[in-house]
Amino acid sequence: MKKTLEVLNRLVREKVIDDYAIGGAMGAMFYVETVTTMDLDIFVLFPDDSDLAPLSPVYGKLKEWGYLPDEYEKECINIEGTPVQFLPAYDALLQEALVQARSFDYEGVETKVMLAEYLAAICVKTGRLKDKLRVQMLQLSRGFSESQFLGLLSTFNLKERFDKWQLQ
Amino acid sequence: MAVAVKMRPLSERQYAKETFRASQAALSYPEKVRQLVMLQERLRPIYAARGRIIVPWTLDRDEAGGTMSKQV
Repeated sequence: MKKTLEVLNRLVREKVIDDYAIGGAMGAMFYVETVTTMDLDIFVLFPDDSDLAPLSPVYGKLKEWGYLPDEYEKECINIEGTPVQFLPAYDALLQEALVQARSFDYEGVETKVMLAEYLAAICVKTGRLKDKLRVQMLQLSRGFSESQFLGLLSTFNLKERFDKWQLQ
Repeated sequence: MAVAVKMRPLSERQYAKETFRASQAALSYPEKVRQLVMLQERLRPIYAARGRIIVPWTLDRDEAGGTMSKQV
């Protein structure tokens, strides 16, 4: 995964993308115990957000570097043995989550992961059963700010959805 | 009139489980990635029996048994 992160950083250096952050299960794993996943979800900010197919330049550049779609994990590009799913930060919540993401050092490679509270809010928005379980795990994680999480739910109009979830 | 709820303390076994989970969550990220790859390797035959092919991630040599990274 170290080489994978180096390739992602190269995408930023070469201005193919503005910035990126790890999200999804791999993002959550930063705060909670190991969970099973087969791909690495990477949320991306682009220099030009008006592009109708924002991921095309990313796929194009990766193809140029020899990274092709993963044989088994559809929608992923296999980068140095890790299937990576690129997801554009298409709404205000994802964009803020990306801007607020924390940097950390992965075996000598600088990378970014979304904050636990944002990951939980994104789960509420996505709304699958596994997202509900992930929110519960994140809420129990060390240092999780319940007030920040509830604040995000209010800001991004997710409070009602979360309350409904709680009753199910 | 309010009824006082008597909470049962956690049993030794439950407490041990909680402690174990907390200790797992506190591992470094590279360590968790190594655990994930091990999980993927164990899951491979189970998924294969169900007709789904999964390929465990590739780790660098230094990553596979490497040093812990610091989380900033």
